[in-house]
Amino acid sequence: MSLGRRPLAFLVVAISLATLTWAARAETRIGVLYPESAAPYLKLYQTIISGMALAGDVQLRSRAVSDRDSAEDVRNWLMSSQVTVALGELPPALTGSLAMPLVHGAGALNDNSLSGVSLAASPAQMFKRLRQIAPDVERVFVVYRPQATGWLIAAGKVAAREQGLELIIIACDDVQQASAAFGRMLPQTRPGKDAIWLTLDPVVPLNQLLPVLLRESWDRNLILFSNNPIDVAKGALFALYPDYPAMGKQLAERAKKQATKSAATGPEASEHLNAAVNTRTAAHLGIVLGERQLQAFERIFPEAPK
Amino acid sequence: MKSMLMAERLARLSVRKWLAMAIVPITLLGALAIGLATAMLSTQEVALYHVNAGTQMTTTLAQHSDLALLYESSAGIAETAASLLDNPLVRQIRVIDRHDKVLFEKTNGEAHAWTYPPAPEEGVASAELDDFWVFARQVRTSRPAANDPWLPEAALLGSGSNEVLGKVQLVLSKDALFKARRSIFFGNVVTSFAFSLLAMFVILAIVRSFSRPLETLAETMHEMRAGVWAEPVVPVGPREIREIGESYKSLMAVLRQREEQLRDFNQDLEERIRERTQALEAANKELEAFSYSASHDLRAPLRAIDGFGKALLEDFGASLDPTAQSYLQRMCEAARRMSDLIDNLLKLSRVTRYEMQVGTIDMSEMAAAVVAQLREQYPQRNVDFRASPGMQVSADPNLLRIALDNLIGNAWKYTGRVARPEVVFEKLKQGQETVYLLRDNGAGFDMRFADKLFGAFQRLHGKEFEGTGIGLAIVTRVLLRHGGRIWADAEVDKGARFYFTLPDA
Repeated sequence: MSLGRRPLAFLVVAISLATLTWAARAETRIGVLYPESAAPYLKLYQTIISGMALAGDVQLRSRAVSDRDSAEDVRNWLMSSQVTVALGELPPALTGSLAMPLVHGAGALNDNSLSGVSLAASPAQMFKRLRQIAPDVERVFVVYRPQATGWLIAAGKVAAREQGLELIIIACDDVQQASAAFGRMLPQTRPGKDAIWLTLDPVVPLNQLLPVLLRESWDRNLILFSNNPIDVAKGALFALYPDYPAMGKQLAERAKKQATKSAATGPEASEHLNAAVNTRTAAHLGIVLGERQLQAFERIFPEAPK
Repeated sequence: MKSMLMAERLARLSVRKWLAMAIVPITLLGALAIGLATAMLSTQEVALYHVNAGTQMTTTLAQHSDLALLYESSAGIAETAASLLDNPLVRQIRVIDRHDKVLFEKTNGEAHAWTYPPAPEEGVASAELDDFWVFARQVRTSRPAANDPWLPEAALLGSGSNEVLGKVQLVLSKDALFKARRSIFFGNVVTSFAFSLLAMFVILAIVRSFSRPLETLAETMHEMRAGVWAEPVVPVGPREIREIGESYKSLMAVLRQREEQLRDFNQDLEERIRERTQALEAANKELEAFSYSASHDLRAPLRAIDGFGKALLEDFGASLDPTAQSYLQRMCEAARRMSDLIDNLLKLSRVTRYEMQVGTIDMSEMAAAVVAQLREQYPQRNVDFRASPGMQVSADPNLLRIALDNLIGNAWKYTGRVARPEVVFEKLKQGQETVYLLRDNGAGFDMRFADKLFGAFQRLHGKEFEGTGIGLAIVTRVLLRHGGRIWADAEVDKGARFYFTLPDA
């Protein structure tokens, strides 16, 4: 290299360094904690984390934690982060006393006070999809516990209004009340006109009630829609559930906002969703789904034998 | 004492009996121990099986009680409960809601006040009572994770509901365990004993296969020790025992050969001894005959010397000067001493040639007779003589009298210069042997010359004590002829002790 070219080289290096410094300053440093778990779960968490990386201007570090980790170790590890993202269910001792914003993800977020992105699908998209499949539906019933999914129902009310649906909400404090509420609700439903929305609210013990609800909705020609494709496999009409990489990106965006304190607190629903439909249930309900409509579903049940 | 007897009895037992005594109790005890141990382990397995069954039944009950608890209605449980209660071991089923209200309760048979363990958050709690197991499990809205192909998405999106609906309780009777325990115990013990008996017979048969040849060998050896030289039997059986038998047979053959050689040699030796003895006896007889005739023949010229010497002194003594008289007196004295010597030699010769007539003799009485004669002969002597009474021996009376005359006479003689002479004749026991002791407090002798004491013509004293030196030689010969012996110890001026032995009467 000749002496004559040196000033130019210095200029290039200086500009590069300045650019890198600016870029580094603009990135949000996110520390991601997820539970130490078996391989399939780990893969799911890693899918979400890889989705987070799709968001721009983030610098990610992730770490699996368990009961064996001390809170101090975790705090030290998070020292360089601006915001913490906690995926799944973590030991409360590890996330209870962090001196930085905490964003929850990969969970139902059944608590109005938690900040983060829930696995619960956006009610707006839910009701929009309901309208597309069953335009005759007029009322949607939902059983919930206000302390758990009050935030989701609030969004649901808005979305229902937008879709011209009447959202009938039944608040319960425990599973027995919820069971009793379904017992009272079902005789009041109108075939083909009413639908039941199954959220991720734990007050509805779906393990016990789903078989009853499936039987009753089949008998009464009610539409059952949910947040879980497994419910669809069992007989619900359709479900919207998160697209995990996209949900990761949404989580990173939320974390960035949380880091700058520009986001409202509380949970938000997943906006990037996949869909599943049960064609047998649809046929029973007299719903005809065209080829084009079916292409809008990522999963179609019953699945064709492999 | 008892243990010694027992040890003696055990020492007499054969190898086979020893091994049988060891094997039989060990095998039976082993069988009992194995039977008990396997029965205990099997019982534990059965108990574990029942606890697992109870746990499974409680889980089933919990899985089928959720809707009933959810709707607070016992109708949904009846079918499950009935199928569980079909099992007679299930004694009670209870379904209790989260407010501890009993929703369903049914008991098979007699009800007890069973104490149930608290139901844990996860799994089944069980407790063992004397006759029952009791189980408890919480009923929750969640379901245990299954092998769902949708995992982990299903786990994330599935209902997060995990609320307590209530709990179920179940009592399982131990009747089946008790029955199983009895049959396992008896079955195991009987089987173990059967196997142990079989094993015992096999072991004893094996033991017999080598103990029998050993016994045969031992019998042959025993007979040989008793002097029965039968042809040794080579035992059949294991190689080592056959080899021992062969070795023993070879050894016996060698011994037999050596014994025959020894017998031939002994016969030859005895023949030679007989010949030598005959020659010796003939020589002895000749010698005795010579000494007898020599002694006898010497007496006549000696009497002549003595007689003529005395006649010369009596008839011509006055005409002889004192020196001549002295010479004649000394010649007569010498002739007299020589006569004594010849007498004693004849006595010694007679003792040897004398034909013994052995009978029971009271040596105490005989000693008293000797002493009486000595007191009469030497009235001036005042000797304190003591003899133990009843000293009975088997001997010839004439020879024994000669021996006692000499021994007591010597004691009498050698205490002649003691102020208070003392002679004691007594019987002693030295081990198993009876020893007679004659002791005095006389002149004694020097032990350096003790080996000469019992030889003929051996004298340990000077002219102060008269004697020919043949007395103790005669005593020795008398005792030897009776199969006895004699020895002595002494100290100069402190007396002598003569010990001798004779056959008991």
